Amino acid sequence: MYDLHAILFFAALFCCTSTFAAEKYENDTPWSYQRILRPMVPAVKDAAWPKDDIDRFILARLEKDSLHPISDASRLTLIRRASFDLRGLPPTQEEVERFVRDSAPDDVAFAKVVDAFLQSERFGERWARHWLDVVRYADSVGRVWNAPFTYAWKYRDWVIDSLNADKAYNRFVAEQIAGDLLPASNVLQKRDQIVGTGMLALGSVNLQEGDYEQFVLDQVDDQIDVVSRALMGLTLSCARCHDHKTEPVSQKDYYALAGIFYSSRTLPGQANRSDMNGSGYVDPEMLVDLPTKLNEAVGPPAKLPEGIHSMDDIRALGNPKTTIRYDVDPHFCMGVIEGEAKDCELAVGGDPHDRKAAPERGRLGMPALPPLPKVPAKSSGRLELAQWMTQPTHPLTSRVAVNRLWQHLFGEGIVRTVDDFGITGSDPTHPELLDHLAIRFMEGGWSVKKMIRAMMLSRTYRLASTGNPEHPDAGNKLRWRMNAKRLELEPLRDTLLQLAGKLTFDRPEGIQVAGTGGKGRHGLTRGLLSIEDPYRTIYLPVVRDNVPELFSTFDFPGPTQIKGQRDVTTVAPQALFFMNNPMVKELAGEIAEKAGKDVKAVYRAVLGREPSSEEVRDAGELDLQTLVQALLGTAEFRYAF
Amino acid sequence: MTTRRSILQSTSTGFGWLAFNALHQQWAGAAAPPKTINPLAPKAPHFAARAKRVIFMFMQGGPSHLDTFDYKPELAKAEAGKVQKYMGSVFEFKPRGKSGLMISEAFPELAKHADELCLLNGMQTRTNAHQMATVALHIGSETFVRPSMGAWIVYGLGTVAEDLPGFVTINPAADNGGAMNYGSAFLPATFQGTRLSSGGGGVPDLSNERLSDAQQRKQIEFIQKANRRLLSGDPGNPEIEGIIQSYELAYKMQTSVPEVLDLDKEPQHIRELYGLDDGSTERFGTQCLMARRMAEKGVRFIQLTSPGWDHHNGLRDNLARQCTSIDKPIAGLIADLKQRDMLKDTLIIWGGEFGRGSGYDNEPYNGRGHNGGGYTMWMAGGGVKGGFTYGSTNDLGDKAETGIIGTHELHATVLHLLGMNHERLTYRYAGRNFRLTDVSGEVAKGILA
Repeated sequence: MYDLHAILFFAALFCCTSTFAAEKYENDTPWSYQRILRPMVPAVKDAAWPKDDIDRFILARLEKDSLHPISDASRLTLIRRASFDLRGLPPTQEEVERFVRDSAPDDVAFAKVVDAFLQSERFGERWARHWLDVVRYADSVGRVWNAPFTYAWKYRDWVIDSLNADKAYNRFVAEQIAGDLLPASNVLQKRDQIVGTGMLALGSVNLQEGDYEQFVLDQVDDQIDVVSRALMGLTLSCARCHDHKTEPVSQKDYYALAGIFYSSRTLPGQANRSDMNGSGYVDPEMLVDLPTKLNEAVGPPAKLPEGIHSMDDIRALGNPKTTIRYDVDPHFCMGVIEGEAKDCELAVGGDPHDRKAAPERGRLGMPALPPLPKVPAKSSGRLELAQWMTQPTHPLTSRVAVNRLWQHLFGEGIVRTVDDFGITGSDPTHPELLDHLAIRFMEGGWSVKKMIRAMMLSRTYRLASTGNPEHPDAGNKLRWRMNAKRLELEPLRDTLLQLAGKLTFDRPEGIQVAGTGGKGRHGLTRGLLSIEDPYRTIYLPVVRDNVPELFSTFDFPGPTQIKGQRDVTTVAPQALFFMNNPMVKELAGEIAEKAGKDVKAVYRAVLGREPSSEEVRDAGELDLQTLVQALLGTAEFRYAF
Repeated sequence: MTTRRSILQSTSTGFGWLAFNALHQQWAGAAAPPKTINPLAPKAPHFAARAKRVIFMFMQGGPSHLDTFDYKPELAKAEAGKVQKYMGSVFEFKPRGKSGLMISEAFPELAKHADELCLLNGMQTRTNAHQMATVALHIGSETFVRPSMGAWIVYGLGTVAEDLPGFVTINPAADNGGAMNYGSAFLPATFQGTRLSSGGGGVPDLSNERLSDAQQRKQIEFIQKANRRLLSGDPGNPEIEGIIQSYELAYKMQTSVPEVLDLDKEPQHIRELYGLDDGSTERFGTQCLMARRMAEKGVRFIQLTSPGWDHHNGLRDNLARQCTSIDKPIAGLIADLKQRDMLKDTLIIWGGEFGRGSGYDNEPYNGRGHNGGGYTMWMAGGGVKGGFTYGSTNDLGDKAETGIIGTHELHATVLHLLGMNHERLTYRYAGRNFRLTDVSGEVAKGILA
C-alpha cells in the first residue's frame, strides 16, 4: 500500500536541501509562516483539573490572569452539544437516558458517546458541509450564464464519504489538488481520488467572457484563491495585479503558482463561449471520463453516451411541458487533469494582454516557507504542489486545519480569522496550543476523527456555557467557558424533519439540477428538490444566485465565497419562519402527534428534558401543536449550549 | 440606577448595544465587528447626507439615450447625408422647463419635471454585453462576485424602517446575474435585497392561517417568557436578547409589511397620478407607488425594474411604448414626493446598463445596437442639481467626452449623496478591505446642488 505520508516526508527532506535565491520582500513575515516547533506543555497550579494537554494550555493561560474555568456542563447539555457537533442532529431520548444514567465516570461515559457519534454516517454529512463552505461548493456556475454543474454532487458525496472513512487529511487535500496524478493501487481508488479534483472546478466564472485568455486567468485565479485561502489561510490572489500589499508575497510568486493551474485543464462540464464544441454551455465533453482500468489515461469522454447530457440535448427536445432531467453517466465527474505544460507569463497590472517574463512554475519564494519540489518539464506541477502543502514541514496546512476543527467545536477559532493566517488576520489566542494541536494532528496520521475526539474529550470542551457580563474576559477569549453555538440552517432544518419522523438518510438519486443557464422553462437553472423534501439539507442543490430564501434567512454563506466562519445574525424573518412558515406548522403538528398526549412528552421530544412545574403551567395555555411550534422557536431549541 | 434591562428597554437597538459593550473590551482593534450587533440598526453617515434613501429605476436592456435625453442634431444630418449607418433620433427633442433641458417627445409627462432632472450625459460602462454590464452597474465589478450597491448602502447606514426590510427590489430579473444584482456576497446575508413582486407577496411567512391573532400573541408570550427565563440563567449571552427582540419585530411586521404594500389604501387621485388606472402604465405605476410608500416608511434602498429596453429592431414603436409605460408613473412619483416634501432627501436614479449606438443595427434605420462608450442616466432629488445637464458625448453621441461617469464614479457619487465616503465604506474579507468602488472612482461633484 502506497504511503503518501512517508513519501512526502522523504520529498520534504530532499527538497529542503535545494535553495532558491531569496526574493526581497518589503513586508514582514507573519508568525504563521514560521516552522511549527513542538511547544512545551505548561505546568498548571490546579493539576487535578486538566484531562488532556489541551486543558493544560488553556488552564495555564487562565491562571496567568488569575482566572478559573467555569464548572462542567451537565450530562444532558453535553450530549446535546456533542450530538449537534458531530451529527448535526439532537440525541434521541434513549441516547440521552443511557448517558445520563451511565454509572461510569464522566470521562468513560462521555468517550462512549463521542465514539459512537464519530462512527455514525451522520458525521460525514455534518462535517462535509463545513468543508463545502470553505471550498465555495455549488451546483451551478453562477455569474452571467448560470449553467448547472451536473456532477458537483459527486464531489459533495466524495467529501462526505472521505470524512466518514476518516481519510487522512493530507491525503484528502492531496487528492483535491492532484488526485489524477497520485498513485493508486486499484482502479476504484484511482476513480475516487480523481473525483476529489472536482474541488478545483467549482469556481464561479463568467462563461460568456469573450476574452478567452481573461477567462482562463480568472479560472486560475479562483483556483489559487481556494487552494491558498481554504487550505493554507493565505490570501495569495491579492498578488494577481501587483505585489501583495501586506504579505511577503510577490506578483512573481502568484504567477509561479498560476503556472501550475495554467498547465492544467479544468473540466467542470461547461464550456466558455469561445471554446464551444457544439454542445452549448453545458458540455459533457468538458467533464472527466473516469478510467475503468488502472493505467488508462484520464481525460474527457472519447465518445458520448446516449441520453440528455448537454445544453443542446435539452434544446433539441423543443419546449415540453414537463421538466427535462439530465441523465447520469456513472463514469462522469467534474475535475482537473493535466494540460499543456507551460509557465504563466506575468500579467502586468492583471492585464491578460500585457505580459512579462513567466516565472518558473512552482518556484515560490515566500520567506520561511519550505520551497516547492522542482516541477518536471512535462508536468503541471499539481503533484508537487500537493506534496509541498501536505509535507509535515509546511507550517500552514496543519495549523489551518486544526484551527477549523477547533472553531466548529468551540465556536471560535484559536485564530479567529479562520481563512486568513496572514498579517491582516488575527493572532492566535493560544499560539502554543495551536502548534501542539498541529503536531498532534500530523503525528496521529492526520486523522480528523482522532483530532476531533481529543478536542471533545478535553475538559475545556465539557465546560458549561453560562456567560457573565461582569467577567474580566466576558468575550471568552481565554476559554474559561464554552461558547453557546447557534444551530445553523442544516441542523435546524434536519432536526425539524427528524423530530417529525420525516427525515430520510438516503441520498437523492440522479442529477437534481435542471436548466441550461438561460431563460425560460428549460433554460433557467434550478434545483429539483425543495426545502420540503425529506433529505438532509446538505443534499439539497445549491444553485448560485437562486439559493432558497430560507437559506439566506439563516445565514447560509453566499456560495461563490470561501467562508470558513458563517455569520450569525438575528433578524425578524427568522422569527417569522418559526411563527408562520407552513412547513414548520405542519411538522409541529406531526411532532405533537408523535410525542403523545402531554406537555411533558412534548418537552422531552423537542428539548430533550423535563419541563419545570412553572413551564407545565404556562404550557397549559396552548394546544400541543402550538406548544411544539413555540418550543421550536425558543432560543433554547435554536442553540447548542 | 441604570440597570442592564432598563438600558435595553430604553433603546430600540438595545441588544446590539449590549452585545457591543460586552465584547468591545475584548476585541478592541479587531478586524471585524462583534457578530452580535444588530446589523440593521441605523448608523451615522460619515458626513451630512443630502439623501436619506434611494429609489433606483433600472431600465433593463439599455434604453436609447439618443432618442430620449441626449440631443444630437449632427446625427440627423449624418443620416440625411447617408453617412455610413448613422441614424438620427426617431423622436423630436424640445427644450423643457425653465432650464430648457432637451428631452424628446417620448417623455411628455416626465418632461414637465425637467427642472428637477439632472441628466448625466457622459455615462460609460466597460462592456457592451447585457449580462456583464448589468452586473457591473449593480455590484461594481463585471469580473468578481461582490456585494450589490444596495447591500453596501444598508451595511453602511442600517435602516430606520425597523419593521421593514432595509433593501427591497421589486420585480427583479431572474437572468443577467439574477440575485447577484441584489446579493450580499461576502457581507452578511441580512444586507441582501428582499425581493418583492408588484403582484403582492415577497416577504415570506407573514401570516398564519391556523392561529388567531390572540392565540398567536399568547404563543409569542410563551416563547418570550421561555427566552427571558433562559437569559436570566445565562446573562452573558446577549444573542438571546436579540432573539427576544426579533420576535417583537416579527410580530409587528405581520401587519406593517402588508399595510405598506396595500395600494388600495391610496386615494383614487393618487392612483391616477401614477397611472394605475391605465393598462399601459399600471405595471410600472404600481412599482412607483410601492416605492413611495416604502420610502415614506424609511426603507433605505428601493430598486424598481422595467424590462424590455433592448431595441435592436422596431425602435420607434417599441421605444415609444416602453417610454409611455414609465413616463406617467415616474412623473407621478416625482410630483408626489415633492408634495410630501420628500424629493429633497430621496435620490431617484434612472437608467440602464448602457445606451445604444449611433448607427442602425440590423435593418436600415430600424433599430440600434448596444453602446457602453457613452450614454445617459439621470438623477433627481436627493441633493442633486435640477434642470441640469452634466457631461456630454461626442457629436454623434456614441462616446462620452466630458463629465465622464463610469461605474465607480456613479457609485462613489451615490454614496457621497448618502453621506458616505466611498473610500471609507469598507468590509474586511479575505485579508483585505473591500469597497463598492474597488480601487478607483471619483465623486461627480459638479452635480451636487
